[in-house]
Amino acid sequence: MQTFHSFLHELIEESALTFPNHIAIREAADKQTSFAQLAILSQSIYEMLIQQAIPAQARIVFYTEKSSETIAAFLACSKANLIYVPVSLLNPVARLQQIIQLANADYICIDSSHIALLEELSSCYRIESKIEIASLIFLQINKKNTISTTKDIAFILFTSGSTGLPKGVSISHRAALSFIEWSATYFSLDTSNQVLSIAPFNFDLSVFDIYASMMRGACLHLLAEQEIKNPMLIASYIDQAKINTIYATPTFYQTLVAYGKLHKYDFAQVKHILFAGEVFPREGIIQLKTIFHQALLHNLYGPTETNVCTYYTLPAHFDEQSKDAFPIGKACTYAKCMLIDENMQEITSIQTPGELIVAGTSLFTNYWGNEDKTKEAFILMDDEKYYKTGDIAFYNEQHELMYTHRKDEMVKKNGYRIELEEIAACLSRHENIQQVACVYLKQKNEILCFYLSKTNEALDIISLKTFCTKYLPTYMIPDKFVYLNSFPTTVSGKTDKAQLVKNYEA
Amino acid sequence: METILAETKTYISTQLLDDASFPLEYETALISSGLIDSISTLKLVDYLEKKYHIEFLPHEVDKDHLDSIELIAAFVQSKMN
Repeated sequence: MQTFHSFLHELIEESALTFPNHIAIREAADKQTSFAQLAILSQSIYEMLIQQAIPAQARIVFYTEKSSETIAAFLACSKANLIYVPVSLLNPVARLQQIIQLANADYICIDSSHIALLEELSSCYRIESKIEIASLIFLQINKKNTISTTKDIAFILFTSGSTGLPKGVSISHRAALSFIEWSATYFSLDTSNQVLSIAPFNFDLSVFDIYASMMRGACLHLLAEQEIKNPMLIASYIDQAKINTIYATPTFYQTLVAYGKLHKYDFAQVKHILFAGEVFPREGIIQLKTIFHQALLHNLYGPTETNVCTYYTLPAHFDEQSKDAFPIGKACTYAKCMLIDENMQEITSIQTPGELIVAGTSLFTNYWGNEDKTKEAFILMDDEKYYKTGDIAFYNEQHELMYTHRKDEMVKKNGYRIELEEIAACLSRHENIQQVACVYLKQKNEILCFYLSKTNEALDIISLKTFCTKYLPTYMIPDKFVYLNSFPTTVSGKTDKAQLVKNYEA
Repeated sequence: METILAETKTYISTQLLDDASFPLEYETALISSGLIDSISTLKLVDYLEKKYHIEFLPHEVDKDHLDSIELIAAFVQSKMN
């Protein structure tokens, strides 16, 4: 499908002309930035970047607060044909370093107020140059003029990887714009929309927040990452700032409902509630519908590799007694969805489960620097490249897609995808850990870490958790640590995870 | 004050850590150490509000008031006065 724009920065250049004085971004301490101001800021960062003569498609890792400056710098990267790699501050520095290495980044961008981090990075990297602009600092850490094999990557989003290392999903301008243009139209965004940004910028949900809002002159509200974790604060902010559009995970909404003291507010202004990232239990949706009583609820589906590829808008009235899950719906205009069986044959009949595969312009380009993994991810059907989602689905009687479960071991916890192997790989680096295995208990929504220690005794839980916080984002830290004397094994000699769980629950 | 300290300790070790024998001290860092996550923090606030009939304001749900049993008890006490 043809997109109307070719590059992300065209969105700000157009909006600066169409809505120059409208507020593009509101953030802490009543700071507000108009579309004209955002365009000017982005242009000045762009001019600075151009002066550095950075090779095309070089990577700049952003380890910054969500701010108008960060967004302006993303747009500047787009214009300068550089790839931006957002890393949330919720990630520890050790994981940042892994990502810098995997992305083979030339620059790191941090907030100029983050002095301690600057010192820490200065001791790990040889800083070739340091440029301060608009409360951001760009640190050049690499002088290799790496020749890029890609042409049109806009950004790389790192997700948890099964090899024990994070995995970089490269997204082209066209892929991002396919979703952005569709969503701006489907949700009829305009200057009346007040969009609250919940997702960190390294999570694909933020692509909607930043760019669909920008394209239509809507106002984006940014809160600090710590504030996002405080449901009471979010609830009062939605009320005060007259937020009417929110895109977040079901876990976010469920936490908001449970702890936000929502009875204090009416929320009649809220028009659109979008959710994606995991299955939303029906009871949770019903509660949400009662609270945001004037809003349309939209169930969106799609892994980072395809961005959103199916959508389903809940009817205004639905059977509250039913226990059935809601569909993930139909393919977006730019996406083609197909179900295939184990023999790679297409399934068209209803109620027959198969793996969901997705083609179309929103597909990712590659796993950065990992050709083998990239090849494995795709399948050719009728000469068209499809991404294998690893999700099992079927068609219902209305021929809408219904999600059922994951095919592999990838875990979804609170909307985050987590590879248990990455957690195990981290803990196996602990000096006193002999062997480690992680499992996920779906019923309890807990990650358990079983381990054998070199000291033959249980290790201190605080020190284990503190160790994890150094290398893993908080959502990947195990909920429980279980010390064992030995691991049960399967016939083939592998750790028997099913037995581990059985023993634990017994 | 002593009661709040003891009751909070019991709640955290039995309800949030699921381990009554956990060596929890009044000054043990709870949030900054990663010992309790953000959801447990919210459960804790909910518990404190109901137990002591107090109300946290939105900006009060943070590390400054909740990072140790000591801090929590002092904060709860100040709210009750």
